[in-house]
Amino acid sequence: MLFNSYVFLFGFLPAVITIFYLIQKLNFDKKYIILWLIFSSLFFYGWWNPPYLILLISSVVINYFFGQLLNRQKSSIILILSISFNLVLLGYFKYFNFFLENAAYFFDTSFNFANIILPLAISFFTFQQIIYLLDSAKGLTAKYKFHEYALFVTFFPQLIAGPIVNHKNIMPQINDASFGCFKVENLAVGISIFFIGLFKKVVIADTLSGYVGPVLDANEVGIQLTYIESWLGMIAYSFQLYFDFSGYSDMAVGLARIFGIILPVNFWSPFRSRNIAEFWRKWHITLSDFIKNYLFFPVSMKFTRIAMYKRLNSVSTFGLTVFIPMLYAWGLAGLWHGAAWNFIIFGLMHGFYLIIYQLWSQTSKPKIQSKIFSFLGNGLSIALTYLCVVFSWVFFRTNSVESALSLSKTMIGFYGITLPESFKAFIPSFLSENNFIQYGSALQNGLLTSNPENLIYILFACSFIIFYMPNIFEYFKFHHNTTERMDHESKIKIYWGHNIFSALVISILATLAIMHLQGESEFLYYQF
Amino acid sequence: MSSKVISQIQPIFQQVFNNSEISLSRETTAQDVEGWDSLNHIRLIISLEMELGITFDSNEVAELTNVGDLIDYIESQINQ
Repeated sequence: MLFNSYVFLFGFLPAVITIFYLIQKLNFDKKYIILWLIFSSLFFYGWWNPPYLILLISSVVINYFFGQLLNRQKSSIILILSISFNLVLLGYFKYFNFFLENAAYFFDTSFNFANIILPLAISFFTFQQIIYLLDSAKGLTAKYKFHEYALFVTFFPQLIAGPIVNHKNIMPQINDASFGCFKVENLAVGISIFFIGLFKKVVIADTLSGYVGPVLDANEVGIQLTYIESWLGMIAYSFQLYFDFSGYSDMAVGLARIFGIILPVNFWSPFRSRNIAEFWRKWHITLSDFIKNYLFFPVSMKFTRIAMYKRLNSVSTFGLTVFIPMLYAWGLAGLWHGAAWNFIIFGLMHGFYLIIYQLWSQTSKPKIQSKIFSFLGNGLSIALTYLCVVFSWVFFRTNSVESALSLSKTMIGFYGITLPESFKAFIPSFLSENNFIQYGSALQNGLLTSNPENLIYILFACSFIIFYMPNIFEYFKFHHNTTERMDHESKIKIYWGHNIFSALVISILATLAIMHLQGESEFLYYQF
Repeated sequence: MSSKVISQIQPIFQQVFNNSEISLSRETTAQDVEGWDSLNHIRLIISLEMELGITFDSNEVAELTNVGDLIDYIESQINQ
């Protein structure tokens, strides 16, 4: 079931909330509230493909059993066995065909591909449960009750596409005596956050999708885009991806809040980042935390130990402690996004970006850095970071390495740069002397010509929201407590409150969102 | 106990972050020390390992981003 569907908004959600409050009104045990939420979450998951419920349920049961075993008996064999169980499931459902495809290419033969449908959410609940297993081996999860654990994994707001939640963060909230008590504040804040997320998804992201689709799909089938088309397409896609995915995360945060659960922050105005490391501290935060803590740190720590004990020179130290662990962690992070070479390249590009950033921040003196920053200003560093990200998303959006390369080349100007005649006055004439820049129809494929100027207005409006409006956690600062607090107070300081103005804003956004619900457009991150 | 550990780790901080003016308290966090990012965090952890003769668990170092938690962890390791 999708958050942006009539059946969810007008059937499922009201029913779940009503019965959730009814159970405590009638003074039933808290256990029944938890059971009701588990049942609802399984129904939510099974709506899409009932047979895969068996996969989800058995994964929860088996992992809980393994975890409790590990609490009692710290055995590395059980730990390896239990983690392998998760990785084998993920490997089969997500990577088996990719493996066959590459093996067939390598051995120059062909295999029969298995008809595997990727189970929704498997990438997310696999990660969450591996963290649980690792902590169980340290005896940290011995007190977890089965029904509480089952709710932690299946809880529908975060089940399908994150945020990737940590048991240490969620289990105490479920176990807390106040969980399940009716609070008007939870309902009001939760629904408000949810509708802002829904607005971002169905009004902004889905509108952009109408422009992005024709352009980038044309590139996919081999139509040569113009320079301007390729850039407009990719900029629009970058905004679409942001509003789509952060909108989804907002909806998840809002829904969880209705039931009194605070989910972790997943986005914190990422496009305002001044360098790539900051970008990953603000974009899909729960994923980058996982990559850092469970992929990068263990390897880098081992290598740093070696480098420091053996007193290696600075080049070998950098290679061993940064270069190798970074490419390893980000190559895997790319592969996590999907079973295709495109995603691996996407991950490796970010690995390289981060290596370059580290090289720069380690070799240059802080004083020189601050001088360069004050010279360039935040604007240019933000623009540079954004450009790097957009370039990497070419590999994220296209379906094959070939179409990604052709789009990248178009964007760099390999196939010439054609600008509209009106630009002529602003561009130095020597650039057009050897036909490097030509003037003419910049949108000659007609892919955007239905109303290209509308797209420009929309992109400006999006930029305004991205750079000036407070993010969801800033807007709800006084009513939604998260442990994480980051810098970058937005220039426009408005806050949600129990007043007519906030009610009006949310009602308008909600109405627009519901009016825009047309068909059911999937979330971009569902495929992962 | 805490103050003893602080006086032991302060010079290590000064060396790793290349700043002799760093003065630590239990409340110091990663935001307060310039350059305390993920990579320098690892360098800090391994330097602490070398100087104090303890080992850190790779899954737990990510959470030790303030001096108070670091001291508690170090003390639990020394007492073991």
